[in-house]
Amino acid sequence: MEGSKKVQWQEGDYTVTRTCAWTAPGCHDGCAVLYYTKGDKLVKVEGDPESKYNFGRLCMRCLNMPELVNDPNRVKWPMKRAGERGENKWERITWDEAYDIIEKNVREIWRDYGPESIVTAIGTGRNTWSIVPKLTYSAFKSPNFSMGFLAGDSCYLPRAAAMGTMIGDFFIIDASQLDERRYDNPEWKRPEVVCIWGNNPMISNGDGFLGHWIVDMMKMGTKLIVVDPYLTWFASRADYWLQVRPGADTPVVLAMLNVIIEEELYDKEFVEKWTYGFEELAERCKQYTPEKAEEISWVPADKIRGAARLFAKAKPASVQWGLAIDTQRAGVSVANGICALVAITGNLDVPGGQHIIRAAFGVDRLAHVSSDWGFAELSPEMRAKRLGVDDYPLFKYGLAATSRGDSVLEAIETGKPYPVRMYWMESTNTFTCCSSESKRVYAALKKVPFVVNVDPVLTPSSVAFADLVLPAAMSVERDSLRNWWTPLRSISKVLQYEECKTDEEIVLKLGKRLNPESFPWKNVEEMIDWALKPAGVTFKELEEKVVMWPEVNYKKYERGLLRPDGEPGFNTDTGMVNLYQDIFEEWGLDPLPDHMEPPYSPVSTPQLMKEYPLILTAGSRPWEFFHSEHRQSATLREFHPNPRVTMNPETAEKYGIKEGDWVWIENNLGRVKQVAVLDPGIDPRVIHAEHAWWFPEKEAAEPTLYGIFDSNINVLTTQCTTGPTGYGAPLKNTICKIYKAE
Amino acid sequence: MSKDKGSKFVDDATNKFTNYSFSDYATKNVKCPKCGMFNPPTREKCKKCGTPVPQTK
Repeated sequence: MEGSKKVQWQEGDYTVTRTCAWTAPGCHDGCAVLYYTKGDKLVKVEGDPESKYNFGRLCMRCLNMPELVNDPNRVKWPMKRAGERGENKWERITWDEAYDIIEKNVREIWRDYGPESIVTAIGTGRNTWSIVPKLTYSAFKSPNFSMGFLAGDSCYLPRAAAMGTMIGDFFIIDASQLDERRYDNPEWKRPEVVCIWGNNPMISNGDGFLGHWIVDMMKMGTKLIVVDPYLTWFASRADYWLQVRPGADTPVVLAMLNVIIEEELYDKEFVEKWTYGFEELAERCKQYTPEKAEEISWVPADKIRGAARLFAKAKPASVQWGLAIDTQRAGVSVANGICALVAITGNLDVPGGQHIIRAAFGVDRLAHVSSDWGFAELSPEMRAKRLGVDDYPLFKYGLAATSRGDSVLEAIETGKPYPVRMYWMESTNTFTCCSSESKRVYAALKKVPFVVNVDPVLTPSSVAFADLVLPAAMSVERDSLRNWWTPLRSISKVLQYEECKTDEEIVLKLGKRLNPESFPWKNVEEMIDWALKPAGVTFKELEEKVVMWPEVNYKKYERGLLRPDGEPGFNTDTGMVNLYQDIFEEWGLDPLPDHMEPPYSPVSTPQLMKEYPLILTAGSRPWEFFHSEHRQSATLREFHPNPRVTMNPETAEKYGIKEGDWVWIENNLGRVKQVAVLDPGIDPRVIHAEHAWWFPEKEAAEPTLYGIFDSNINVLTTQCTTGPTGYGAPLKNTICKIYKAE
Repeated sequence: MSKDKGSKFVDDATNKFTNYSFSDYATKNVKCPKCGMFNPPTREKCKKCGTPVPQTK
């Protein structure tokens, strides 16, 4: 960029650049890094020791970034399919040729089918969360932006929906990350207790949250409660480890609320002044005594009581929650229950509690979690065509504007309510990673006439479906922002790899071709400057600072800082925290949290359990990989060469399996194989399998397709089995049998 | 947290749609003079405390 003000200096032969890393490759964080480059090569990456975010720490994936950035097998230029889909035959084309092909297809679909027949999809935790919605709504003029085929959109969306209707805003654990002084901020209080629910934050960093901060707080005296089927590092150090049956979290949270309400351990002043529906919630919780919860969840009643008392008496206490909440049919209920737990114990928006969070300085465009950029440009008729919202009204009111992944799948399969003619994948390898019933999704995507994949590497999704593959730049090759949540950070471009372009560049270029009025910026820098207006800086000025910290305000609901009318209260219909949700009642949904059994479980399908006697949970994160990424790294594969299925030694003995054996995991949908790991930290009735496995070292062309169906655990999970809200699906709680692979 | 900067910035009616999703409800509903609960304009008494709420046309 001309006149760049990025922070750089020389160390011997190296040019060092201070900036932030995001994706690709990446995760949900945005750590501060020092890039060491020599000529046009990235040689080394280190955590920035001056950063108040990650304090110089960096995980092995980021430390290994040079291997992925310099990978000679990356997609280098736009490619057009030269053979049949699946043959892996490509023809190099120019960017202009690629844009011509896309524009021609889009205009033909507009004319013959309507813009709604175009669907876009992204992967998780990406810069793409805001820019691809803009592409969808403003350039393609379609209402259908999605998270791929993720069943029940079970990645944060159930929690977002729960927070949206109940509290009116997102919240995040306050580990002092909101203020530059960090742990020295005199206003901040260290949580006496952190409850980690369905998350292993050291490995799987949540959205804008670093697990190390919990370790920091533990060193200062914070106690832990951990709700997890597996004995994680944190669980092994917790005062209470609640080893829950996968998919049975709601009874646990309702029983904790039961104890807190019965023993009057809740914050009476907060409940009286700031909540609606407490009596109704209390009545519902009476049904869930700790003994009743133990029957359903397998968590001993005395542990539920102890954990509830510890949490309620701690001032402050907070919850770090994770994806396992979303990946159950009752995902919204679990999240509602946890929101209630935080609220009635008086921990909402207090120092060291659950901070109500918005984008830093109000910069909620370009790279923020918001998915509605450009949506208002669509006519009301076009907005109403968003797939899934007719059947699931909560989708209209959540904190995300996505189309429902299951409904997109059904539309492709049936052509109803209208056909899907074009599918745009931006940094997502959807049927390898987040889609359930992978073979069903594979068959469906084959039917879509025009598919584009934007990705740094060739994936099974590109080879199987793509008509065009566009080379995506990696984080080190991108000028952009990190504004998900706070602080506000710049991402500086350091290198150019072949003909790769950033998501922002591709979207702006296509937008100017298809709907120039909505893309008035001359270049990406102008677009970033526009996005940064609320912060009062230009991109170059932000680059110079690298990081900007906004002012922190607590108890915003008392001071009218949440509602658009400036009144005290929460940004909900009632101004209160809705413990009872009238709007759910209006939609024919249960207005209070309640347990729902997984569709396949000892309770739902006892007969089927005779054939498939084990509960299968899946998808916890390894150190080496982020979802389906990083499999092409020889270094990371040296640490983790094969997919692993973890089981209790007792289970292994029962089925004649030894550590290191290849094991078939099978149910009524299919079978895949992974390598056995024996670990007493998991219940003998449960096994855990890894997700998103493909093998870049195997043949790309079909039928091998990088070994996509060999070990992909989502061959065994289900699409279209969500709860009544439409959110939440049983990705981590189905059933299976195992046997040694000969 | 700067509440104004974000809301001033959003383009057109986007803030009426998803982000902070109940904004539209919240601005139409009527505040109870006693407990501060916002009630639908059709209600005569507060859902939370039963106090009569101001009637709007």
